[in-house]
Amino acid sequence: MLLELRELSKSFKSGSKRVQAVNGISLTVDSGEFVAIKGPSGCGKSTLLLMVGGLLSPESGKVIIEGTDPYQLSNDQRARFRSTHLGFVFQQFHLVPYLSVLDNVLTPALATNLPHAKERARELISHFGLEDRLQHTPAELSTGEKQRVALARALFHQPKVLLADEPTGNLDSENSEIVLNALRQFAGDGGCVLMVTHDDQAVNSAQRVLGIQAGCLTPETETEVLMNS
Amino acid sequence: MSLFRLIIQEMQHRKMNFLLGLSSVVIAVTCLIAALTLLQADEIQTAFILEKKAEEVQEAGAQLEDAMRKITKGLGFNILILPANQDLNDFHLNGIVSGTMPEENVKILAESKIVTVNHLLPMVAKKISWPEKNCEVILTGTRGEVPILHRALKKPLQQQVPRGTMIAGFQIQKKLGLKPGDEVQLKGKKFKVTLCYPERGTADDSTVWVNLEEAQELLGMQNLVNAILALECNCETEDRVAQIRNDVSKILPGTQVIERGPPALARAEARNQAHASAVASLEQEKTNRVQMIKRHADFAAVLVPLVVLGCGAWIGFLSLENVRRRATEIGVLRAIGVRSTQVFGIFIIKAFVIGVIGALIGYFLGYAIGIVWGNLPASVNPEEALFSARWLLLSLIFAPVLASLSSWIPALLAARQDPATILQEG
Repeated sequence: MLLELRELSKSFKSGSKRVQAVNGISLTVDSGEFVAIKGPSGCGKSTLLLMVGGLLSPESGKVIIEGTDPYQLSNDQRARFRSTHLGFVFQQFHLVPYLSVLDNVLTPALATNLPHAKERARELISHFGLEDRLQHTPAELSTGEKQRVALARALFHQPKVLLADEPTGNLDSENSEIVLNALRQFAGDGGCVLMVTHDDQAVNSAQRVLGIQAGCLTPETETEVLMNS
Repeated sequence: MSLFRLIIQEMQHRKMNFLLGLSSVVIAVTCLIAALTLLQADEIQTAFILEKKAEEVQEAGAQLEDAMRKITKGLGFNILILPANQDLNDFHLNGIVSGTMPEENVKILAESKIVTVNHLLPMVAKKISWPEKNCEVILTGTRGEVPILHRALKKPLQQQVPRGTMIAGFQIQKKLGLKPGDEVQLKGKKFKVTLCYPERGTADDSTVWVNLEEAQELLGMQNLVNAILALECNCETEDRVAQIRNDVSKILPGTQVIERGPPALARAEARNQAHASAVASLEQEKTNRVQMIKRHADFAAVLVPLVVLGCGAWIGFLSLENVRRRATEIGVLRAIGVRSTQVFGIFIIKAFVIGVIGALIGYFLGYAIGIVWGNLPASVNPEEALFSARWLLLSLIFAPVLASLSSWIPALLAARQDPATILQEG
């Protein structure tokens, strides 16, 4: 088991009320699994993803990634843990605007030393068909290209778990397919993908789909996905 | 990929933020170095001016002393021709002449070919009791100048006291309450006071002057005089009194000649005063320069910290703005594993880099201001005199420290930003 969530809960104060964003979620994801969590806006999807990513400590419950609870680590250890175990893909891409494509893909190297970093970054960039955009900045890229760069950045340090927050939310179907294929391939290579989305095309790419409503997971749906096909 | 590369790329991307930050550092360093360089220029200038002034003063002082020597020498001096029977010891002790000589001696001297004496004034002088006023005075009788016949008539230095008139010394007029126009009686003879001298601080203050003939009558010294005063005497030789004594003895054998007043002392005093005046002028210049440098230093001591504080605050504000603009970037970097200390480092290293660049530019700008406005003398090479490796080093320490300290709080805020909050908002 690569990822395990045990009775995870988180609430926020909104004015005078307390809103339960995540309410006792438990989940296990094995290596090679691509799990999609579907739900409407404000249902707690992103909060759940941030907690899994070691960025938002839960009020109760545990997150276990490859046998380690990141919240038992110090801040620096948790940051290092993220840099070796986790990859993030965001809907808004969040590329560093002043860095070239190559440098954006290389940003995880700030946190961890990887041998042959440049070669790996170039390989990934070529893999996503951006070899002629190496020195371009995000402002010079199309939306689909930006998400491909973000994906290359997320995969650069060979994480175990890939966390994707609405990765196709801003993409057309062609670019969405490229991104989803990459996620499937990552899972097929032994990683695990946890994606939150409300995009049906994305949902259909996942092996397992979970619903989330008012911070609680709803019954699972198994989806046939042809991985590595 | 390194933090340094990230920082450099960011500076290239956000040029305005970088340039504004850099200009703040440059202003602070320029201000500091310009103040130091200009103060250094002041000191160089002062040393140069004082050295030059000292030379000028020495030269001018020597010239002035020489001129004073010549002037005082040329002014001449007074001598007193005394009778042969005058006891000089008694004269020096009491100041009163007791010996007498014929009044005819003045005529002989005036008709002689003597050139070393001028302005002859025959006189009688005796301390007497003034019975009508019940006091003692020195009665002096004088007939004014006797012209020396072989020379063009000179303007007399002392006018004759007309018959029936009296001039009163300061203490006498004060004691007796005399004023010009008063009529007094002296040994039964009437005199009209025509003049009262101001205080001289000598025996003159206790003297009354009357016409020579009347004084001779009052003292029973008809056709006799006590002394002949010769004013503004002069001659070319070094030992002038000896020369005059020699000249007079040939005409009036047996008479005695003494110098009245200490002119050598006066000349020495004049020379000393000339020297003291030159030294005082140099000291005044020194004081003025020191005061000027102190004024400049005081001004710099107020201005420089104010500018530095202002620039520091501005750098802090720019860093804060930079942190605010880069919030999402910070969130993403934290998400991919960049530690908070590294985020802190990104902003502090950036400030440090700006500090180093600003220090170099600021130093050379401040140095250039010193060269242009330092107003150094032409003989001094300003580039060499004002360049200071110590101040360059000071700039290279001061500016990065200033920039880093100013960015410290914004960098801490960046490092403490919660990535989850940022990514949720982003």
